[in-house]
Amino acid sequence: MTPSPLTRRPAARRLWFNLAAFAAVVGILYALNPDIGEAVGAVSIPDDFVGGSLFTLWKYAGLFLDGAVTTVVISMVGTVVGFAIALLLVFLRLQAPTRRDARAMAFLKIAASRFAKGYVSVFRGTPMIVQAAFFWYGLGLFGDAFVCGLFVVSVNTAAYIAEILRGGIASVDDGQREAARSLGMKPVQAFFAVVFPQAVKHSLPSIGNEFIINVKDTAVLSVIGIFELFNQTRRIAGIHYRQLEAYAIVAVIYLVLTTGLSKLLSIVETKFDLPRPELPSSN
Amino acid sequence: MTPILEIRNLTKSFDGVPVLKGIDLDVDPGEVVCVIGSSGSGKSTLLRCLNLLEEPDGGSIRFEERELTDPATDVDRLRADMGMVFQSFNLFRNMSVLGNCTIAQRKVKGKAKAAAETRAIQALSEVGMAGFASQDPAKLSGGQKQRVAIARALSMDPQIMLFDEPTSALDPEMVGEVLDVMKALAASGMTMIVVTHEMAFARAVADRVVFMDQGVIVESGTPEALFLKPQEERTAAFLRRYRA
Repeated sequence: MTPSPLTRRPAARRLWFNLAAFAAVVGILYALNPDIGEAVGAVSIPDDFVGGSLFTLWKYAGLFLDGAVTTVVISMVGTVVGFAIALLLVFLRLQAPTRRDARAMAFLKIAASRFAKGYVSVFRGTPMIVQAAFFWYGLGLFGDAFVCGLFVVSVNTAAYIAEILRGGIASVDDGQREAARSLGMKPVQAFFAVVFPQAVKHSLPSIGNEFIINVKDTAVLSVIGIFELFNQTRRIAGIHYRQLEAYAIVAVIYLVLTTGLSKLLSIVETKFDLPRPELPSSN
Repeated sequence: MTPILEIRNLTKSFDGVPVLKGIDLDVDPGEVVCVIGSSGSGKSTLLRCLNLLEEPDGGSIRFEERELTDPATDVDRLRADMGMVFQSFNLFRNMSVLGNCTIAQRKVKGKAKAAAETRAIQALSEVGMAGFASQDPAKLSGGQKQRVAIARALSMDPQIMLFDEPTSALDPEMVGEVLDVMKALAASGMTMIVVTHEMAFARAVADRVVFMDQGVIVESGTPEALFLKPQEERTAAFLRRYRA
C-alpha cells in the first residue's frame, strides 16, 4: 500500500512540495506566455516580461554562466585564502605576555595582538567596495583586476573569519588547555593538538556562512571591472536595454546559488556532526 | 628520606585577595596526603600552584630537587612528571580514549605510536577501561571518564599524582569506582596529593591528612590523630559540620 503524501517522511513530503511549487511556477509562466518556443527562438527580444526573460536567459545563458563561475570561484578562493590569513591573525591576536616573558618578548606579543585587532577593525569597519577601489585604483599594485578581486575578498573575509575563530577558541573550555599543559605539553602543542581542532570544528558552520555571504558580496567587485555575475548582468541588460528581465534573472540565479550552497553546507554539517551555525551576520 | 616535594612559604592572591598565606608542606615518596577543608580554603589553589597551572606570587616549590618557581626551570618537563586529575575530567573531546592517553606521550616524550599505545592500554587496564580504548569520551559515564583521566595521567609515568576533588562532579553511585582505582594506586606505592571532600576515603587511604582554612594549613597529622583528636578548634568545628 502506498502511503498518502501527507503521511510520508518529512524529506519525501518536502520533495513533493518542491515539485508542486515548481510545476505551479511553470504553469503560471505558461499561462502568461503560452509560446515559450517562439520566445526563445525569436530574432529580437519579445516585448512582454515573460517572453523577454526567457529570451534573455536562453540567448545569454553562456554569459550568465561565465559570471556565475567567476563569482563562485572568487568567493571560494577568497574564503579559503581568507581562512589561511585568519589563522595567522588569530595567532597574533591571542598573544599575551606572561610573567615569565622578557621585556622585549612581552612588547612583541602586545604589538602582535594590537596589530591583529587593528586589522580586524579596519577590514570589518570599511565597506568592501571601498577596499576594492582603494587597492585597485588607489594603490594600483595589481596588474589584473581579477587578482586584485581575489586579494580584496581574501583580506576582507580574513577579518571576519579571524573573529569567528577567536570565538571558537574562546568557546573551548579552558580545562582542555589546562589538561594538556598538566601533561607537560608546551603552549603551542596544547593549542594545536587539543584546543584548535575543537575550535575549528565549532567554527566551520560559520565559516561556511561567510562563503555564502561572499557569493552575494562579490557583486561589489564590479566597481573594479571584474565581470562577476552582477557586472555580467549589467552588460547583458545593456544589450537590449531591458533592465527588468536581466535583473530578475540574476536575482533568481543568486538565490539558487545561495540556497543550493546553504543546503550543501547543511548536508556536510549533518554528516560531520557539526553544530548549527549562528544566525548569519547582516552583510 | 628526602621529600619528593618541598613547599615553603607559598603565597598566592587573586585580585589582591590572599588565597594562600604562606603554605609549608613536605611530601615524601610513596606518601598519600589528603587535603581537606571547606570551599574557599585555598586547597584547590594550592594543588594548582604545585604544577604552576596557577603561578604562585611567592615562596618556593622544590620538586625532584629542582625549583619550580625559578623562571629558568623547564616547567613543561617537570609537569610531565606530575599527573593531574581534575574535578571536571577535562578529557580531550577531539580524541578517542586511546588518543587521550597517547597524545602527551608522543608530543612530550617523543614516543613512537606503538610504544605509546602499549603504555596507554596498560594504564587503561589498571583502571578497568582497556575495553573502551576506541570510544569517544563523550559517550562514557562520569565515573568512566574520571578513570580514563587517571589512566591518561598514569600513561606519562608520573612521580606524583595530584587529584583536585576527583569525585565532586560525579553522581553518588559513581564515586565508588573512582575511589577504588585511587585506593589501588595508593597501595601500589604512588605518591599522591588528594584534595577531597571524601572523609571516609581520607581516613582509609591517607598517610597524612592536612586541614586547610582561609589560606593556611591549620593542622596536619595521621588520619586517626586528625579525625579523632583534632588539636585545633577550627579543625574540630569543620569535622563537626561534616558529620552533622
